[in-house]
Amino acid sequence: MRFLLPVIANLLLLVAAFGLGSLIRPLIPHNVSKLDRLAIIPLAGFGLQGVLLFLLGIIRFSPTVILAVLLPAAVLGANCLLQEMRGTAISSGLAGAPIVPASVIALVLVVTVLGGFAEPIGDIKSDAIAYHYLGPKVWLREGVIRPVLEETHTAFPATVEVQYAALMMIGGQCAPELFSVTALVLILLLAAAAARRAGLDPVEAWWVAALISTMPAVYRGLFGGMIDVIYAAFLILAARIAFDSELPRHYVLVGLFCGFAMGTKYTGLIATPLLIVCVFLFTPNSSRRFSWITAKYLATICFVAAFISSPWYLRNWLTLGCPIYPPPPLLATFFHVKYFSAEAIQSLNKEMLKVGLGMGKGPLSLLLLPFHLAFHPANFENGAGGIGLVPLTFIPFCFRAYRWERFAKALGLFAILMTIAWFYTAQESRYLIPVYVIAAIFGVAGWKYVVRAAPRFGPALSALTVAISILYGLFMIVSARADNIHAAVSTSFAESQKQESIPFLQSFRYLNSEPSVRKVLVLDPLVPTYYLDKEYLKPIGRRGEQSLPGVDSPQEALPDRSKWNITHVMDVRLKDSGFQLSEHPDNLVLIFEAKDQRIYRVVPSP
Amino acid sequence: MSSQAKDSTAVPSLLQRLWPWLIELWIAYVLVTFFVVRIIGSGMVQRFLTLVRLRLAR
Repeated sequence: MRFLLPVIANLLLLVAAFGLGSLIRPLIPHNVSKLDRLAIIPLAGFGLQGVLLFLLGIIRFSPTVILAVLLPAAVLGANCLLQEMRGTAISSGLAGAPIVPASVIALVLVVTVLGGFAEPIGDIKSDAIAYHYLGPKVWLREGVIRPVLEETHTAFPATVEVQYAALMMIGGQCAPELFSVTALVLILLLAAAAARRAGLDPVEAWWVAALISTMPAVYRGLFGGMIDVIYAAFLILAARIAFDSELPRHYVLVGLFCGFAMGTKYTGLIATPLLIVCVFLFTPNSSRRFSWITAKYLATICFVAAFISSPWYLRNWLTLGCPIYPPPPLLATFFHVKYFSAEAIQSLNKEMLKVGLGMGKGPLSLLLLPFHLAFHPANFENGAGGIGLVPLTFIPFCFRAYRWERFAKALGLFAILMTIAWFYTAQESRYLIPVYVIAAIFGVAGWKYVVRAAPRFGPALSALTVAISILYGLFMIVSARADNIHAAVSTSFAESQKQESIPFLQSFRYLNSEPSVRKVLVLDPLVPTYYLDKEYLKPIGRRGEQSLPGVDSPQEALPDRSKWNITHVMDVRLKDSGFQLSEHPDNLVLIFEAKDQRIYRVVPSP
Repeated sequence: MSSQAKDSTAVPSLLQRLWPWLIELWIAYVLVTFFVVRIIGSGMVQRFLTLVRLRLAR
């Protein structure tokens, strides 16, 4: 059951995504390949599923509501899958696969599947524990989707996270981790399809997929609750369809994918206008002059994208005071937000700027960026392991690889614009995943040229470059997931990992197992409440969020504990600090104590 | 006329002859830099080298 339920949950979610995705089939251009359709349909389905679950979830987010969405969609999906697979023999497609890249992909898939069965662990510094999985867990417990006030990041657009909630509901805590397998398969499918469209042959498309699967910087964006690969998939599909669009309905589909990207990450708000610039310059209908027909198509993209992503932004505006929450510096001057003081916003923005500094923002850093990304990837947040050597080595030659047709030019320009925007905003490696995927396509195109143009040593040197990239990437990925795999197959190792990585584990176990615990007051901002299965109140968040207006410190919430129906208080001692409460606090009885952790029962005041 | 035409193609043909060498040099440069920066410069190898140095010093 430990393995079965997460698998069933993920399969149900995937088939349901095919079902909802089948609704947009009339919008798909007729000239796209079968491979394209196999990526477009489920990804559109995931986007629509996220929006639908969110819209229902802000009213009611119960198991019944989730199943009422997933089960009918899954029936539709099974039908859609049968129709799409008709006349396609998977076995014959795989039989013709080149052995080396196929084996590499298979190995990464095995690692991802095994690692996906590990329970999420870590402290509050882990994004998964701090917010990607916290939001879904709280939404399920409370039966409604709302921002968790002491954690601002749960107010981010959450197209993927609402589906993590559905996975948790059906398959338990491990199920969202296993979603990384779906994300990996989909990004590889769409990369291979885009590579074919860019002029590469099937074997080269396999190499593109193998290179992407072994890019540690890409891989980082698909496990541990990360949503960056799905975001990249939405964006690349938007570009893939946009550059071949001819009819208004195709532009509706582009708008849908842009909207899904904007409903997944705020960075979609920057990428969408950049895509629109490329569409303007490179669509078949565009004569590079402004015409009403072009304006109509671009307006269609904007309107559909804004419409599909609007629920997240409107919710934030209405409930938190700003469409983008927490607000970036420019918006912070115009919007007065709730639950987050001006100082806390300023300090968060300062921290984001520091993290996003990467290797500098000067013109020389921009010029040296390809070298920095290849040789010093760890200097960019979450970039350790990098993207291999293929992009740096071969992209300079891809310009001579084949006669550049419109699609490749547009894709190249989109990648360049996204890189420049990334360079001047936040240089966090994960945000550049769409570019890494496109870079792999152009890298393989350049490799093809090098083998032809330098026949003496070119093939051997190229093979060495590709081999080093893949082997180094595999080493980094396997070592990053080794503990997860070990924990998935050994319960004793999983337990020792929990003891080591989950702070205040004994307290969480006590609170979760004790029936008299109904609502816990968590005093310290750095306690990872993801592990708490009971209702709780955390007055101050890790970034200074104030979930109770007017309460500036955790202790200030204590006098009002009966008003909030608090039954227990959790107090902990972190490094370099003491407990928040004195030895014998009034009307509180110490009922559990372990190293650096105390739990009190609230005694009704006389 | 014919000698003039010959002169004008002299430079491109030289570049054409050098081009494969330039490609190979570039790939070799990337490989060597990667080896120096990422393998020899990596923490694991540095720790190993320090260990070897300490052993030899004894």
